[in-house]
This record gives sequence, structure tokens and C-alpha cells, in this order.
Amino acid sequence: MSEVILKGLKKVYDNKVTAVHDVNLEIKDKEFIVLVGPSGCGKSTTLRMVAGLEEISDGELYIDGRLVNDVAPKDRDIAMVFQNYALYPHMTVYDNLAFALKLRKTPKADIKKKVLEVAEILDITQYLERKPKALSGGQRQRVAIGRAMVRDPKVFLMDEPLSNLDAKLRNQMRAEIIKLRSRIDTTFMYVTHDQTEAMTLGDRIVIMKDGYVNQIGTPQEVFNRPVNLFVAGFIGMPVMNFFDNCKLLEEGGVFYAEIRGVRFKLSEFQQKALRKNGVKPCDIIAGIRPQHVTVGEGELKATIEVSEMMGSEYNIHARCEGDEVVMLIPTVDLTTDVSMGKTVNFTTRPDLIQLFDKETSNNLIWYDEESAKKDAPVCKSYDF
Amino acid sequence: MKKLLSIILVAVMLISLAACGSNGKSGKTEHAGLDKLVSEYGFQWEDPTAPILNEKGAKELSFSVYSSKNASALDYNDMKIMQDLFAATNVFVSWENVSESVYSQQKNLIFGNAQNRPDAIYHAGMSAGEIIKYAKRKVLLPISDYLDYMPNFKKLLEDRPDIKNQLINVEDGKIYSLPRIEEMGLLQNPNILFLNKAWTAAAINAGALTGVTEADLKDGLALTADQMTALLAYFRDNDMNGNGNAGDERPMSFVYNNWQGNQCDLYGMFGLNDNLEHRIVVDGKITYTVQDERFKDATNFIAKWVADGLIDKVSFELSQDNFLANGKGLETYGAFYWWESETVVSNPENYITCAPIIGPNGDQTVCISNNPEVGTGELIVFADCPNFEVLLAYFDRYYDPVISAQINYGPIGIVYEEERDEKGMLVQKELPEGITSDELRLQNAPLGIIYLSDYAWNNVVNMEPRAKLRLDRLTAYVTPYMPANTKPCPNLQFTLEELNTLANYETNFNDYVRANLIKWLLGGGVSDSDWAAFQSELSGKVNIEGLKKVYQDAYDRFIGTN
Amino acid sequence: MEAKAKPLLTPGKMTKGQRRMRSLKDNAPFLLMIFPAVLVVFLFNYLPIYGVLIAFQDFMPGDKILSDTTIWVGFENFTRFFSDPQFWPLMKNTFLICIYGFIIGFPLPIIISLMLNSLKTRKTAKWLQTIFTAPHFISLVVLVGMLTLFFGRYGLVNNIVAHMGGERYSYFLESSAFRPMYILSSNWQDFGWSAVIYIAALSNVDPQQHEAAILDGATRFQRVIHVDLPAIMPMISVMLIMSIGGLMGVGYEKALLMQTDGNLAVSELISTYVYKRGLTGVPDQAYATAIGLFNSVINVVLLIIANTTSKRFSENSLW
Repeated sequence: MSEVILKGLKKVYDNKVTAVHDVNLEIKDKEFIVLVGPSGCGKSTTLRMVAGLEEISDGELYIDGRLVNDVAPKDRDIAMVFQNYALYPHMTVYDNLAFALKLRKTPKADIKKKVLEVAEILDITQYLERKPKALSGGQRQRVAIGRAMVRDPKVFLMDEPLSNLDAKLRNQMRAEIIKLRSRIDTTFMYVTHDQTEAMTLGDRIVIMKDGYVNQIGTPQEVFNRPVNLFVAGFIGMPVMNFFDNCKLLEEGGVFYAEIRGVRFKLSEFQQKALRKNGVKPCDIIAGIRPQHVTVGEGELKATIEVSEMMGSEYNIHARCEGDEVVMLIPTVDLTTDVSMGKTVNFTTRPDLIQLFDKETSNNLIWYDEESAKKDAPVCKSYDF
Repeated sequence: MKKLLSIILVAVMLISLAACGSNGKSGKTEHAGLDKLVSEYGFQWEDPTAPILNEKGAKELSFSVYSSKNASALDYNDMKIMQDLFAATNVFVSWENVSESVYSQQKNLIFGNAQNRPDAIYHAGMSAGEIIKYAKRKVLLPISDYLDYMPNFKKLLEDRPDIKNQLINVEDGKIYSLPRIEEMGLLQNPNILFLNKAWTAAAINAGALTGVTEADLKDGLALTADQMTALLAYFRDNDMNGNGNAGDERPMSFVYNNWQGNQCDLYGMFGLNDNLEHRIVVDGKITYTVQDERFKDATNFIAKWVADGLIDKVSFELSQDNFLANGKGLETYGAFYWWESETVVSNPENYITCAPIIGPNGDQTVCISNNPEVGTGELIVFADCPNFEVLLAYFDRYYDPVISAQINYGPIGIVYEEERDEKGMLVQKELPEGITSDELRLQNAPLGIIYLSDYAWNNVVNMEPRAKLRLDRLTAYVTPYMPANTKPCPNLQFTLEELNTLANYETNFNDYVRANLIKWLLGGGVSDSDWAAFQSELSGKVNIEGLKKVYQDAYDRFIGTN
Repeated sequence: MEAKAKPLLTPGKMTKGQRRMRSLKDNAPFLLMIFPAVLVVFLFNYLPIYGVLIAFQDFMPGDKILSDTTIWVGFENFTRFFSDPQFWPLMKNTFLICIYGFIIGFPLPIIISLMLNSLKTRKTAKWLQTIFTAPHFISLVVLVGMLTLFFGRYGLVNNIVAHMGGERYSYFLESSAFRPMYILSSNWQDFGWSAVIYIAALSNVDPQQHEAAILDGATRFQRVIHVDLPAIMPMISVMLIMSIGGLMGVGYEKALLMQTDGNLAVSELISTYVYKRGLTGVPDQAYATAIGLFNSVINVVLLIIANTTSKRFSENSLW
């Protein structure tokens, strides 16, 4: 058992700047949790508090049921992988891997066994006698991971481990981390600013902004049911299309979303949720994911500015009354001419429209995490 | 565009570099030739009171002379004495002044810049060796070939063959530099012993010092070594200055190996006329005192004083400034050697001037230093100086006693009254407010080449009161104790070969003697075996005989041509 | 502008010469830019080297170094130095004062910089660094004056000792006190200054390295050894090579100022001896140059040895 519990964790720096406000998070044993958010959102600080590299200003941190607020990093039974690898440049790969064990006075034979085992897993056995300088970025990152692995930590912390690698290597290493995870069965806390990494790696994703947690949930949850405008915009590629100055109307007990003068009658589920949430007609920001746009029908009009053929799909940038609209259309579905300068009609399914309160920017339907976790029929329609 | 710009840049650089290298002799006056000088510029040198050049010469001829000056002196171009000289001679000299430290750095550069040297260097500070080497290379003007233009200097050399012999280059028998001569008789004996009157009286009253009564405590007191030992011990053990601390009195003080106020007089107790070079002339023979057995005895005697705390060890590490600073304020000096008491202590009236200490064997003599009163190499003229005849005639005026006095002490009109007194002596003006006589002198007197000797002291200028006081003290209490057969070693001229010997051995000799001497003085004395080893080392590797021979040869030449 | 219009690649194969011309042309602006630097280095650093010729001459300022009037004396200036009775003592004194100074003075700034770097508060570190650096700006004359004030017979140290009932000790007269005083005061004056370069290097150490070491369980000291020290190791090697190269080079000013008859036996260095001979006898530039050249040769040999050794045992070397 090695669950990690963050209870009201808070970080205030000496200059009175609060970097992390009240983070509550329960990480289950063997869970892979990803902290994601733009730079400066406090995700790294949170991780570093867990690691013991930053003092905890307030709140409690439990690892494996033990309160570790004031426990030295090396005694927390954790290991961490850093963005810059942080290898000892004057030591060989073998010594780098063995260093932590040596400091713990592990017998030499055990060290050797363990190091060789880890090197085997990471496929770096042939580099053991080299110095870090002689390795490529990917190899160095593997050594850095190996250095964490030899200690058999209860919790594996990773601070943007892939961001120093080029795109291709990053994809490769990402896959390896997934593989790795299946081999070393332990709890992971992973920090990244890259939502793709977060979506592909995490069992659950914690989305942070300005020191606050915005949403915690599985990749599906945060993608389909973003609790607010920020999460909606942060998660998903390409970024969700937002239409400002839209209206939520109610006529005869039925809710409509009015986007650029076009009315969409909302689905049953949405009607019910809105009524239950006690929503009154108001100004809204409507969100439509590029994947959910259908071209060639409907009443919304847009002028195409760029149209990129990506093979299996078209990536179309269009302009709709000043708003940029990105559409991701599977090539097989495309019947309309989408060459540059053409004006096309487009529409979407009403149940896929996300409704954000213009004032609070909260999602009117899944305004909090609890509601976002509810099983909703809308999920089933994601079949792209 | 870019290309053009960079080409221009490079071109500018090259041009400026080229310009650096090629500033030739553009500014130099052409040599006019003696006939033209006489006919056109009215050059005359026979009458030392009339102008050297006519008005035309004053306008058209000029000389550039490089000179260091002390920090408080005015620029020589602005000095009244220089302007007076121009008015009297019509010779225009443009002075280029630098500080003394700058000069010592630039001296080689000036000589090195063969294309663009000044006409002459004043305060040149040329050593005999330098003069020989440069003379050989024909860089310097052989002044002795043109003595006709220098009536004062020529007469000086005729009157004073001893000075002439200090100047003559051995290699070719010529003179290449002009000297500074200031004969006051002050330099030969650099030390006078002063004794604290009140403290000595206390010692007499306490019965610590016998054979002397309080009435004897006046200038000229001569103590025996034993008496001095007892007296210094009394100073050491008692709180003489009454500040409650019996440990801060310094019984006897001097500044070890300083050019004056040094330890050498103590060797007089054993009949040695020591000096810092340990080299004197006895009966016409160059003698090194360190080879004398008496030197050993004296060293042991003094070392005992040091070991007993009668001479504070601080005397061996003091600088002149420290010594002077310590004398002020709280009275700490019992007996001390110095040039004069007035600069050392704030209450000189409490110190009496003593005759030399009478040694254990009855010897009573003093240090004879080799500090020369004739400074050679004070001015040199470069061989390529155009119209050097005029410049020589001009500098000759400096040796006129009245000019010499003004060069040395300051001009008439600032330091001296226009009117002389009934004996024809220069009369000191009253000092302006807020300036000391030293400051006024340093501001207005360039110093440098002069000839002040008995004639001048008797007929032209009074000695400064302080110099006079010291001279009186020396005459009364020091010079009578100088043996007739012992003389200081004068400025000598060496051959190149001799100079090489000196270069090779003398620094080493000095180091060797100095290192050993201080070891003995501070370490309680020298054992007979150490002394023997020292002697054999001296005559062996250190080559004292070689040095002695060089000096003896040079001295013989000096005497022989005398 | 003209160059721009030309096609980037001329068709067909270029000869080696053509290619060289081509690269010359392409790099012309850069070559022009470094030209002044090269020129200055050549003019002021290389051209004057021919001045060592005067070590083999009887030279006086104003002489031409190469002309028919030049007085060549061969190795006479050198033999004069080697046969000087003071030669071995001078070598010994110079070598000892340099080697002791080096042994103490070389690691000191490294240790200080490591210590300053691991101070917890930046502010204290900066403050201390300023204090440590300040003595560097004291002139030698003032420094020796300070030494006299502190270590003179009636100086502070002796006054304290005397007050506590001890004997006064003449630091300036005892030859055994000269080297410690000279070396320690030099090191005191310069350790802070020399540490600056290491401190700069240390500030480039990735903080993640430290954090990784903390997580590995390294103590503060272990982190200094395994993170900080390796980070400045290349700098240390370079400094080591350079200071070994300058091992025999010691100026005369300070030794001369501290020299008394009492410590003459150890305070007479090559440089002070040359200075004295130059000042007191005939100023002998040729002789001084000969000794300087001899000194330089020793230094170059030391430098080559140090560099070769360093190259063999680590990856760091000057060339």
C-alpha cells in the first residue's frame, strides 16, 4: 500500500506570494496521477512539496498513511526524476545508478544485482561504463529513471521528464513510461505542461491554474465534462472553439442555446441538468470541440481561411463572424468544397455543445467535479 | 556597404598606427654652427655677467630640458629663478617636468627613444656605470671638451682637482656630467648621540650612575661604556617617564642601517670608523671594517646590549618615519643617535649632545660615512643637442655662487631680499603667512647643479640656522674624535671591467655581511668559530679581496691624478 | 550586396583552391572583424618578443637591437647569473615562497567558494564574499604597512602577547617568520578575489542536481563533494595549470618592502636581486632580460608538464 494524501496543502513563499492554495488530493495505491497546467500554475511546487524539496507551509501530507510533513526527503521513500536528468557528470552510469544505494550502505553485491536488473529493464546495460556526457538525451533520461528505480520507492515522482527531448523521442519515451509503469507497480506522480502527455499517461489528471486545482478526473472526464472554461480550453487538441456573446434562452420550459443567431434546442439530459442546477436564461460562452463540427449543413456560416489536409482528416481554420473556428473533419465525411475563401455552412450536435456561464466561466451543466463524475448519456456519442 | 565600412575602419587603424611610429625629429632646432651663433645671435661666453645671446637669439633659439621635480615644487617654467636666468642670459629653456617616480620609470624610455631625446636631463641621477656605458655609445656630450664655454665650471675644476677626479671617466678621461656640490661638512658624520638630561639626573640621584655629577650634564658629556651600560640599565628598569609603565622606555635607540642615526657610532667604542658599507680609507688603503678583529669585539659588545634590552630590538626594524613618530608625545627615548635632536623629540631642550662613548679599551671615535658631498651625474647633455655651446654656457651660470644659492634655497625677491647686508651676504626675507621656510624653499628652488662651498658660505649666503647648529655640534663634539689617518671613500670612477666585478660581487657581499651582522647583533654575538668561518667565506666566495682591489685601484687613480 | 546576387552554389565541382577562396569570401566580414584583434595581439604580444635578443647583448637603452653596432655577448649574461654565488639560494628562496604560496593559496579559494556556495542564506554569502574580496584592493605598500602595524615589535599582536605576559617577537627580523607572513598575507589578500571565478562557476550548477542528490540521501558535505566540486573541476584544472605555469613568477615589490637584514637570507628572491643589481650597479637591462628569459623558460616547461599531466589524467587541458 502506498497511497499519497494531500490535505489542504499550501505553499507561501517568503515574499508572501502564495504558489499553491489548498490542494486536496488522494492518490490511490499504484495510481498514475498527472499534474498538468500552464507554467506557474503550482504543479511543480506541489510535486516538490511531496518530494520534500519545498517546505509545506500549511496542510498535511501523508505517504502510506504516515504524516511526512517534517520527514527528510530521503526518508519519505520516494524517488524523483528531473527534467534536466540531474545526473552526476563525473560518475559512470553504473555509479550514478548505485549512488543512492551506496549512501544507504547497501551491500555491494546487492547494489550490483539491483543496478544490473534496472539497467536490463531500461535497456542501458551496454552504457554502464560510460559517463553521462557520452549519452544521448533519451539515454540520459533512462539513466535518470533508472536512478529512481533502483531505490524501489513507494512513490515515483517525475517533474517534466520528457520536456528536454525532441518531439519524436518524447513520443517514444512516453510509450516507454507506459510500459515501465506496467513493470514497476507503484504510485506515480507526474508533472507536465503538455496535455497530450497528461491524457495518454494519467489514470487521473489534476488540472491546476494559478495555484488552484480546477478539476481532478480521468482523461475522459476532463475531456468530455470540463468544469470550466479553462479546463475546456486546456484539454484537447486542437483547442475547443469558443463562441462569445451567446445566449441561453428559455421558451416554454425548454432551453435553447443561441449561437450567432442560430438556435439549438438542447438535449433532454441538458434540459434536466439545467433545471436541476436552477439555471436561469443568461449570457453564455458556447464551446464546440473541433472534432464535433459537421460541415455542409446547418445554418452557421464560416469563411474558410486555411484548410490543411492531414491524411485521414482535414484541419480547417475558418472565420465565423470574427471568431476563429477550427474544424476537424474526417476526410471520408467531407462532401463540401473546403478550398480557401469558400463560405460553408456548419453545425454541431446540440448535446455536444458546452455551455459556460459568461460571468463565472463555470460549466452550467458540470459546474463541479461531483457532477462531472456522473454518468451522462452524452459520453456514448463520442465515437470519433 | 558593410565591406566599404570595414575597409575604411582597417585603413584608419593602419594609418593611425603608422602615425604612431613616425613622429621624427620634426621639432628640433637645426645646429647653427658657432660662427653663425656668434655673428647672428650674439653668442658670448666670456663675460659671466652679460647676456649669452642677443634678443634675436632669445627669440629663435630654444632648448628642451627634461627634469624630475619634487611634488611641491612649481613647474620650472614658472619658477622665478628660471625666469630671472632667462632675463639675464637670453637663453630660452623649455622645461619638461615630471615627478621623481615617473622619471625613474621613464629614464630608460627617454634614452631608448633615440630619435626624439630632449637636449639635456636635469636631476638626471646618472650612476657612474651608466655614464660610462652611454659615453662609450656616444650618447652623451663630452662636456670637458667644451670647458671654454664654461668659465665658472672650468675654474671650479682647476681649483678643485679632487672634484674633477670624481667626475672624470676612466675610459677616455672626459667629463660627461655636471655635478652638484654642497659642501657644508655635514654629511661625513651622520650621527650625534643625544641623552635625556632629566632621566640621567634621576639616575645620578638614585646612585645608579657614578663618576658623573648633575653639574656635568651639559653638552659635550663623555660617558664610558660601563657608565653607559649602567645608565641604560637604569632607564630600562625604571618608569622614567612616570606613566606607570616601566616597560615602555627605550634606553638606546637608532635606526639600524639608516643613512643617518644608525648603529655605526657604537663601533667607535672599539676604535672603528665604521659605516654602512663597512668600507673606509685608512692611511690611503681601502679597508673593510668587517675584516677587523675589533669588529668582532664591538659586535659582541653591542649584541650584549641588545640581549640585555639596553637597545630595544625595535631599532632594527624601524623605519625612519616610525622612529620620528615614536619620539613625539610621551617621552620614551633615553639615548638616541640622530642627525639632530630637534626633529626627533618634542622637547629637545631636555636632551644634551654627548661626545662619543669611551670604549672598554679607551677608544673614542665615530662613524665616517661615505655619503658624498659631491653629487655626480646631476645633469647630462645629449651629444645630438644642437647649439650645445649655448646650453653649456647657460648651465655654467648655475655655478655662480649667487645663482647657486638661489637655485638651492630660492630666488632673490621671494626668499632673499634684493639688498644684501653690509658683508655682501644674501638676507633672508620675512616668511609670508602660513608657510614654513622648508615649504617656501621646496616651492621655489629647483635644487640641482650648484657649487656651494666655503667661499659661498663666507661671502654670499648664510647657512640655514639648523645646518649651522648641526655644524657647530659636529665641530665641538664629533670631528675632534676623528683620527687623522682615516678618510671616507669618495666618489670613484671605475673602468668597465671594474664595474663588472662590482656588479658581480657587491650585491652579494652586502647581502652576506648584512645577513650575518644582524644575526649576530640580535642573537647575542658571534662565536670565534663563526667569526673565522665568516672571514674565510669573505675572502673566499664573497671575494672581498677582489672588491678591495677594485676600490683600491680606483682610489689610487683618484689620488694619483689629484 | 554584390555577393548576394550571386548564386549560392556554383554548378559543377570546385577545386580545393576554389573552395578555400569561397570560404574566405563567405567569412570575409568575420575575418575583417577579428583582424584588428589579431593585429593588436601581433603588435603588442608577438612583435616585442624579439626583444629577448637583448639577453644576448651588452645593451643600453637607445641601442638598436639589430644593427652593426650591437654588442653581442652570447650567453654571458646567463653564465653571469648561473655562476653568481647567490644563484642557488635565490632559486631556492623563490621556489619555496612560490610553492608554499601555491600549496596554501590554490585550494583556499576553492574551499571558500564551496563554503560560500553552500551557505543557506544568499544574503550572508554575498556579504561575506564582499568582505573576502575587499583586501584585494589594498595596495602592496599599504598592506606591508598594515603588517608592520600588526606584527611590528610594538604592533598589535606583540602588544597583546606582551600584555598577557609573553615575550615580544620581532616578526620582521626573524627569517623564519618571513615566509609565513609573506604567504599568509598574500593569501589573505587574494583568496576572496580568486574565489570569485569559482563562485561564478558554482552559480551555474543546476539546482536540480542538488535536489536529486538530496533525494538520493546525500548530506550537505556529500553534495559539495559530488555535485559542486565536479561542477568546478574543469575550472580548477585550468587554474591549476595556469598557476603552475606562473609558479616561479613572483614580483619584487612586496618582498622588497618586507625585507630587513634579519630576513634577508630567505627574503632575497630572484626578482628582488635583479632589482637591486639593476638599481644599484649599472642598470643592466640585458642581464635582467636574461634572468627574465630564464624564468620564463622555467615557467613554460612547468606549464607544459602540468598541461600534459592534466591531459593524461583528466579531460581538461589548456590545449
